[in-house]
Amino acid sequence: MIFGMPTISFLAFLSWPLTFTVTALIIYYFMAKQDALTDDSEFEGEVKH
Amino acid sequence: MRIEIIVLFVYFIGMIGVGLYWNKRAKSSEDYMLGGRGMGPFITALTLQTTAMSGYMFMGGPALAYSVGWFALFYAVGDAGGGIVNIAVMGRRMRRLSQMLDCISPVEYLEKRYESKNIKIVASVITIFGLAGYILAQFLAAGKTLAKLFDFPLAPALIIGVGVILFYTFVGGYFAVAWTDVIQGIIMVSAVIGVLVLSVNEIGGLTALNTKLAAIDPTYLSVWGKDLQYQGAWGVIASAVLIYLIGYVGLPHVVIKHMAMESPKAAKTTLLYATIWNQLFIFSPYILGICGIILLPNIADKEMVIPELAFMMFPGIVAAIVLTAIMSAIMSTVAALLLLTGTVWSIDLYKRGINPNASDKQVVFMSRLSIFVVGVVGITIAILNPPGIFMLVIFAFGVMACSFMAPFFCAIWWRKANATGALASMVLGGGTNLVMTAMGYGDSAFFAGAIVSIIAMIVGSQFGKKTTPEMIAMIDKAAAKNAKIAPKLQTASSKHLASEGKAVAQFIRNREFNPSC
Repeated sequence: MIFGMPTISFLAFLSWPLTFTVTALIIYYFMAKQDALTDDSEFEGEVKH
Repeated sequence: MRIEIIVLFVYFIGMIGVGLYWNKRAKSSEDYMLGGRGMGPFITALTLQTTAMSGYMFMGGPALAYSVGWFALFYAVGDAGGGIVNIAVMGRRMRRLSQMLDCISPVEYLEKRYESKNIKIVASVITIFGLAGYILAQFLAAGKTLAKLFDFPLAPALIIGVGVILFYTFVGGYFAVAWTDVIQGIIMVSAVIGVLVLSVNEIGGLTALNTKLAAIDPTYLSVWGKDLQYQGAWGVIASAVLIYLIGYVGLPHVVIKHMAMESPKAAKTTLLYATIWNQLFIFSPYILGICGIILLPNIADKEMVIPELAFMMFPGIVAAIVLTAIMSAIMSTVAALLLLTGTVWSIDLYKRGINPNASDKQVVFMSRLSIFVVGVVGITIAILNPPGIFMLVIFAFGVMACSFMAPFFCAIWWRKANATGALASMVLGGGTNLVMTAMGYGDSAFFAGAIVSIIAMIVGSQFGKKTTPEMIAMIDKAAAKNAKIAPKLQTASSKHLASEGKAVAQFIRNREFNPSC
């Protein structure tokens, strides 16, 4: 039992906020690495008219 | 006048103020419909997520949790991960390709990517049908929520509530919609967390909540729902998780937010902000529904769990802000839908169909006109509320998601995806969802529609005109393949090469002056 609920229920429902936050941090890390190697200057800033 | 009505009107005035503030900033059609592609990560994250969350989160979600216990959180799981999937998969590539193709509307984006006028016709029809159903649903929800929470008669409630949304969308365009979304997103998350913390504290903590639930009925804690009613129903669980985990990729009013980001590099920070907001917001209304089982055992209307808890935990003025948060959830979705309707009419039908020489001012005028007309017609239909109107609504999300998910995804991830595949995917994917929902298999309609849509895209793309080399080059560029090296990296490697060059020069000089070495 975790927090008074069966372990399987805890994992199925309440483990996700932590899982998704860690996943987002990992994806952020890989995206940052890719961004550092890419020149996106032509897509940056507002489009002026 | 009751305190909650005063707070609501102050909120409405604030939203109108935001619309007026951004009125002057929206000069061109790209400003009005895409915020000049200048939206930072924080604004993009909040506008993306609040658009995706409707009033269901505050009323339908808690009511479901009140009925079935923790099982309801399967719907929250897909939702909470949906932002990651959407931004990581679509964000940077869609932002780059949409600018390379010079498009403002999602329909225009599909047409130019797949190089087919037929795509434009079919995508426009599905978008208009889907948006009409969605808008009507949200109008009805706005009117009913105002009537329920603030005791307004339905017709004036609809006119006032929808009138405010129409006003700020009409005058301020994307800037106003995005900034009101930010304010609404902050109100939503603060309100729901405040009520959650006090409610769980009142019960005695999370463990006490579960112990008390188990004392009433232990199956409230089960992964199969109360009375184990979903035991072995893996299809229902898969659909509950998948519909929101991947469904947003197919919603035009959601994916347009990628096109408005200030740069592809903003995607990673957007992903982080969106994930944090999602984890703070999405689970809370469902857990509040579960708290309602303990704190409000005799509630007459399960959809009123959050408002009732708010009045139980907070003094009047704070509880009134919580009610405003419910309106915020509805308003953020309606505004995005209205703006996209204006974009599809003014860009896809007017400028690129009826009047190709239209000036920017004429396009913005047409967009505003269509927002106004759709708003007035929508309010009228919602007030008349003809029988069967909700049937239309049930189809809207599923049909749009199943029609567009594969074409939007494959546009940037599969070079071979062509117009034949995209057309087959839109018609068969959306059609499967439509037919299955109509036949009463709504629970698995999304899953089936998504599978058919993917298969149709793969099979269809084996036939018809192949993707042109020019388009393949653009898709590669959108994927940052063969991209230019970042200036920082160039400088770093130049410095490195410079020192190596210096060493080589020194070596040669030494040899010239001292041949023996």
